[in-house]
Amino acid sequence: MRRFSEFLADSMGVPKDTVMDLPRVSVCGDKEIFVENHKGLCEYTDTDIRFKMRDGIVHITGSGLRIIIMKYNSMVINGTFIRVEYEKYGRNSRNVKKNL
Amino acid sequence: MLKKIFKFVIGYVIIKVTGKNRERFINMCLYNGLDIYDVSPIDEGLVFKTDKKSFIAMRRLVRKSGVRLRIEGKRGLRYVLYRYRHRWGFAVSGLLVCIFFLLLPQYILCIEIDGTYSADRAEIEKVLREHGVYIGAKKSGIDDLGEIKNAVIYGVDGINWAWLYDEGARMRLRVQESVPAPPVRDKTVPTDIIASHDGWITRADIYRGEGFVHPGMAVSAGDLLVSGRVAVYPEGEPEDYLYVHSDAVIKADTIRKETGVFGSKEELRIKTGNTKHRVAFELFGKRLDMFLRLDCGFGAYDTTEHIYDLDTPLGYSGISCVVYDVDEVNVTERELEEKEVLDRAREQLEERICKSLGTGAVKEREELHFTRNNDIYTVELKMYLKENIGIEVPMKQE
Repeated sequence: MRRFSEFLADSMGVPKDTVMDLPRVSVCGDKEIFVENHKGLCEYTDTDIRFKMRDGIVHITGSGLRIIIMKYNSMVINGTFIRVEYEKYGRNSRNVKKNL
Repeated sequence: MLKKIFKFVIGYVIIKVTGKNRERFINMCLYNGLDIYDVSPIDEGLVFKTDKKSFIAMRRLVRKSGVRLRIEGKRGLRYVLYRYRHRWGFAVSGLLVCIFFLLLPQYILCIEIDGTYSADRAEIEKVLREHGVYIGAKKSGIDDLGEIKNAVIYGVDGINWAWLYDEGARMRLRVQESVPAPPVRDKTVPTDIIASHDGWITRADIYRGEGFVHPGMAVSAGDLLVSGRVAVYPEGEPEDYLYVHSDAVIKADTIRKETGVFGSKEELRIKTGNTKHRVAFELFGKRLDMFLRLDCGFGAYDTTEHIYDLDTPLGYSGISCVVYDVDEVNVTERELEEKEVLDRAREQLEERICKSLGTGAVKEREELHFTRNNDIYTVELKMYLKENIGIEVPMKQE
């Protein structure tokens, strides 16, 4: 099913986050992050925010982190960000790090 | 901003969540469609804001997730109104203030007339009054602004154009005065040309009249240079004269002198950093000081005035707040160098000489002489010029 939706997204030119239910993380400099399609909050402190996505966890580190707006599937985070990490579930998980 | 105002009007509750599963509680809130915002972590848990309806719905989620909720505060208009629900005086006085500010701009409480230098203000005020514009008048009773503007333009002498602005309780009239054209010289009147200043004639172009000057001649102020009385008879015939309006360009080398006394010390006013504010109110054009002495007990001070108009959505309310910033200053004297004194003296004396010059004067050179007596400089500026020294004067009829 997953492969089919990916194929559909590729062939039809539809954004993958809508078809495959992937999270969309928009980063504005190091001051604001807009997250869509999240599946809930895991951890929330001043320096770390971890939230679930379909098959992993997104880990945001920084300082003075604050969730300004929180909706069922979207949130806006303010603060000074250092790193956004993508941690996949499973045995052969790999981390995709994005240094800001 | 609008969202903030809306949330303030609706009212919100600040809630603190403590316990192990606080993130799970937040997720459950979101899953159930409850509106939460401004989530921020604190030492023992999380703090967020929500509306009253969502807070009531959270109760069952609290039991499920095992967290503890505590109301940290209630903010918003509904809670303020609830707190003061028995204090009718507040509501009544607030209502009266609103009515007061709504009523004020319906009347003309001050009239400002800008741009008048030579035009008669009393005459302008009279024209305005004829059209219903006076202090205390109701604005619904005044004539059309365009009509009033035209009345001022056509009814008052010396006004070229006018703009009338309705700014709530203030009527502002800005006028542009007309600049009178220079009088046309009546060339039928016989005139002489005399010297306006002592000088050596360098050039004399006489177009009309009988000349009494030639280049190289020295003249004194008041000497006749060109006469309008022209002899038109041959030798041996009876005398006959033609009286004309003299016209000539008489160029001469002149020397202009100006002397002044200048001190060698300059006053410096340095702010000490001590500042106090004095407040006054302008109520419908009348100044009401809220202080007894402006000096604030300072020995020497400088003041800066700031005026804040109280504007309502309907315009100016007729009330202004005037704030004076009174800065204490240390007055000290600085000894100026000789060059500085002479430069300043030269500037001032040049200005004085230039004010006395006619048109077309050209400076050739200048000399500065001074004598110093203690701290006092007596400075003389001598300016060598080339200028037109001929001035027209009515001819004396014989």
